[in-house]
Amino acid sequence: MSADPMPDTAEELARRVRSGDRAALERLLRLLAPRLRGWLGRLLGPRAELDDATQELLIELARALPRFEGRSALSTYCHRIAVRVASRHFGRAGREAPLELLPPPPESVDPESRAMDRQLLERLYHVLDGIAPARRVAFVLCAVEGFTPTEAAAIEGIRAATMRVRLHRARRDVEAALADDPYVRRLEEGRES
Amino acid sequence: MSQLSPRTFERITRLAAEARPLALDDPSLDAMIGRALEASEASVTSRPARLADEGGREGVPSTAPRHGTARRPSPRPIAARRPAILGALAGAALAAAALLGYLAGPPAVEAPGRDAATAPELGGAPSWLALPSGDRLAVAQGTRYELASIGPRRRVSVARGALLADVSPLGEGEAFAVRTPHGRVEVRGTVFTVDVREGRTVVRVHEGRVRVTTGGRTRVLIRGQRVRMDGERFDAGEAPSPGERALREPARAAVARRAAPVEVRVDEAPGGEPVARVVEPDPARSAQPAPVEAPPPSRPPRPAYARRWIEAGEPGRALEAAELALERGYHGATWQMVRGDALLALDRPAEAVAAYERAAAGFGSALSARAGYAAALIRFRRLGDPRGALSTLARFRCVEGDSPVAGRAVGLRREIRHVLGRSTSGGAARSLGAP
Repeated sequence: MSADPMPDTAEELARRVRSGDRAALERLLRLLAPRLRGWLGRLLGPRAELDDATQELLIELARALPRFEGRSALSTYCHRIAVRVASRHFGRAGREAPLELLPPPPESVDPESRAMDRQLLERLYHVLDGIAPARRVAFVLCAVEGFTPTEAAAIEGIRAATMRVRLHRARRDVEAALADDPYVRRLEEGRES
Repeated sequence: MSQLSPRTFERITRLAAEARPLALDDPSLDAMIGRALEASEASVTSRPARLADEGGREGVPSTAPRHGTARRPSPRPIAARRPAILGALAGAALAAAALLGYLAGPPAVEAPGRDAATAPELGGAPSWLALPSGDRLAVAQGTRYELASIGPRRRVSVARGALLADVSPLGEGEAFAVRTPHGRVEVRGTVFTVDVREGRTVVRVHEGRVRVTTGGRTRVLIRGQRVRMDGERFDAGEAPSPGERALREPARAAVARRAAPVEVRVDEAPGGEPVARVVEPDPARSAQPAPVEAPPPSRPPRPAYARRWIEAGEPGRALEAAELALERGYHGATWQMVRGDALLALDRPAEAVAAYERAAAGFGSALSARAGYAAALIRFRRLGDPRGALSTLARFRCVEGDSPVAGRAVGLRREIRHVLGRSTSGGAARSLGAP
């Protein structure tokens, strides 16, 4: 099922939110906030608007969760809203922000490798900024977040076949753009030599 | 255009998957949640409650733009338009009431009979109500109900008592839902009874199919099925109440009316020209009572329905359906996949692996690889059996070039080998699951 399942307590809190429990809503938002921010961060990349997007998403969820009736998984429901909030920011000329987008390095990772990883990640999001938003979402949900096309289709509210087509085209776009990137090309040449 | 090596591509996507933005500090998070709660309260107090099913999908704000399309600015702020909206709503309500009065007499919120609050005995001849859409409602005496909407998305609320709905087949954009204190019943052209009692609602389907929701759980009922819901869960029904018994005859009549076919015959006229005429249904045939009391059909549903049950949090029901289907010799591999999904949802990973492997053995190559990959993943991640997972990947050729899961399978194999302390070299890397 989902690559990132919600904890049981979240489902329980969602049930209480539906019955009008405001304290449960606050607890649920607090519980979900780190996960939501992670989703948005991976959808948007290193952008200064991440805080704004997080705030927007929390507001949308605070309004929507009391109407959540459990017809889909809570994770799918939250992800669907996160995708919509992120989609509003795709078209904007975002300022690149010096955000930490990598996990804390293990001691074994040398600074050079770490800098290289950061560069690669920046290149990926530069490429993603240039492709169609629907394909970008398909790519992030499936290739990055690890959802199957069927699960990603449920999040987007489209047919699985459509999601597969989007994913295929997104991969083609991303691979082509990265292959033409000078930094990535140098990296490839360095490995071969 | 140069070619990107699969290894670099995989490295980049892995980096993205591991990326974590800077966490918010506690004061910032507190402030954000506070603003979200304030905005939520403001929205609740400044507008009428919105139905969850408005906009087609559950509660997701339907005004949110999708994929960067710019939100069209509203011509006037909502506060300025509120009087006009309220006026329009009031006008619509008056028009609906007048139309209803014309069609069905006084739109009694309480059906004729004894006071429902003090006299719980229900029964007697029901009252019929015809809606402009062609739907017909039979309401048992003493039933307290409200026609919340008679537009394309029709809604009836039942506080207590029993009500039979004979719903015409719905067109595009139409819906028919009955709300009770314990859940919701949604239909698509059917005949069903809703009986609201103390602390519970009993739903019986006489014809067609309905979806019932309670406490976040959803079930699809088909003809002959009956279920009780109490706001949290479903269970088996109980003896029919007087109100429900009073609606049996109307239900039979409604089903018989649907069952009576309108036949169009083409005869040859004396001049040789074909003439079409409508043949009235045979009254004797129409009067045949429909098998309202028929037990639920023993045929399993389609696999897609069983999968929906899993998604709706009812894996046990999906498992029963899968086992029934396998017992009766339906397509084994597909049902084994459903069975595996259900077992996994029930936290029975070892049995799920067995089901997926049986499915993989029964499928053609592409689906076999998918099922094999699912089995290998569970073996490795849930059962802690890396060698078994490697064996499964190899057995079902998950890493072969034509496998739809080749990319993911190669990644899994590399991870397993890493755990086992082996080398990952050997040119096994492939593009991430390119279709």
